[in-house]
Amino acid sequence: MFGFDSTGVLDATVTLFPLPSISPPTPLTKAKAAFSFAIHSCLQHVQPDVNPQQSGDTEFKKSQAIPTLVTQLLVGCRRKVVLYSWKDGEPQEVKVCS
Amino acid sequence: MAPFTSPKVVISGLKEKFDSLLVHGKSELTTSTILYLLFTSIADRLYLGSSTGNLHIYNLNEGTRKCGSILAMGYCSYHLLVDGGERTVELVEVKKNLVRRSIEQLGLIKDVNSLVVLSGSSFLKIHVWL
Repeated sequence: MFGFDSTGVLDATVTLFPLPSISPPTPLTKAKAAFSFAIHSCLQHVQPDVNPQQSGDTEFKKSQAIPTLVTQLLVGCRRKVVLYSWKDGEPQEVKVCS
Repeated sequence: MAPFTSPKVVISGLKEKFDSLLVHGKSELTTSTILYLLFTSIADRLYLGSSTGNLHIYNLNEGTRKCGSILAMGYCSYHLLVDGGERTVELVEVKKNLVRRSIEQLGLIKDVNSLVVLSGSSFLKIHVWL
């Protein structure tokens, strides 16, 4: 039995284009061979890094939770899932799950 | 018709094959539309991604006023009656060859104000079993 299975050389890619000018493009290079993506945004209350020696008042620390807008862009690729994320518009480290 | 009102054709006679679309609303208005707002009501944006990598950008207007100054600037305009009121769909811009292959999926990331474009699985998927 002879088998042949090819998915071609041209892999799908994901690119970000800033609005309103739509340039310059930012290719998401870790998300090669992408099939689809999903976007999720939510408001998270992030605890700031507090040195425990400096602050002993836990009630005070709890009130310091900072509301942060977190956006996640999850890209489904051929053999992995790649997560791009932003916190208040600042890009975070890219996570790859394979 | 529950749970939505009767669907209407807003654009017809498109010359290209479109594989993806995205609509985003009033809160995401960009600075380029501010001038536009002086002449008409607030617009939503419609993005169409074509199989050849072109991006068509439209304004979707709920308002009833015509925007003569926009027409004078050479934009195409489409007019349509919706329940007695007029809805206009105006072609703002066509980005030719935004990407080299088909635009498969479009998305928007609001907090970095960016369009997400998945392109190119026009790649040949061949399965031959003999």
